[in-house]
Amino acid sequence: MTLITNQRGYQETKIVLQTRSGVDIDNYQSSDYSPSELAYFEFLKGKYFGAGIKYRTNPIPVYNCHGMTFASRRTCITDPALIYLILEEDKYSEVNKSDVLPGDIILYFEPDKGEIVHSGVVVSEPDINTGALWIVSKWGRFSEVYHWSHVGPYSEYTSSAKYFRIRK
Amino acid sequence: MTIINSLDLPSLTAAYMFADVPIYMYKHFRNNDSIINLSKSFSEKEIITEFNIYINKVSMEVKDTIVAYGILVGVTYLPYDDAIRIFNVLDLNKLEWGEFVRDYYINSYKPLTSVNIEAQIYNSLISHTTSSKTDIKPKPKITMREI
Repeated sequence: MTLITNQRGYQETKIVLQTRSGVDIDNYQSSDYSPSELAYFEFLKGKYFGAGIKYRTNPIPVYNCHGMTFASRRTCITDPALIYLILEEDKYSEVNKSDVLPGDIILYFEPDKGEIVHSGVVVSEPDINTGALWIVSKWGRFSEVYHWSHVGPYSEYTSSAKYFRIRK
Repeated sequence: MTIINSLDLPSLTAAYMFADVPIYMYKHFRNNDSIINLSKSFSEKEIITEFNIYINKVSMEVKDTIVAYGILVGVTYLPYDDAIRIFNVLDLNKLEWGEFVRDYYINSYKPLTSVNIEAQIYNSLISHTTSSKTDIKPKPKITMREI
């Protein structure tokens, strides 16, 4: 673990994180929340609740969605280019939605330029009738959530979501 | 009115909290009405002064960070040259995604083409000649906009 100082002067840590073939992946671990952030989380819980959303954890600052999906909940990865690198180096390949299985990865893409905005892990097969499926994802600096893939703050990107699996 | 009072802080805070990557924050901030109106409501001097106040706070709260990002994204609604001039005097390194906002704006900016300008002049002329009964030649108003 390495101690680093971020742009605002706060101390964070980073860990050694590598792809399958040993390429370093830049990352950082945030360690704390400010009191106002914690207060705001309560507001967000009131905004996002109900059918299709179950909070798995309290807010955790250490990892973000990509850190949950690709780094075992140990750190934050915020550079989308590194996600493309991981997909390539770790030999992920795309899976048709009809073939998706629990354990596959879901990536939400920003439609204009195709940038990755969010990721999660699929935990159910698509519903036979609706095609909806359950995923687990970390919502930014907030909590880890068990939710329908089309429900939540990334729902606007559902139509451009893609699914991936390591096959070899 | 100060900039912080003009911002839609609940929506911007949610966008910031849920941003796993900077593009999520940038797009949601940029689509927020309070950000769109920021550059119309405040002068360049006010924008620069308030940005510096927030990023130079000894203990920067999350609200301060959100306001600073709000100001930064609001700058992208200024004419291109004005936006670049302001980006050049702001200390973007104080924000984790400060340079991203500037770089993304620059890379996604699409300048006017001559075809587009001509189309605007043509439309202006047509509009004028069909609605005016005077012989005064219209002076086409060319506005800068992204295509």
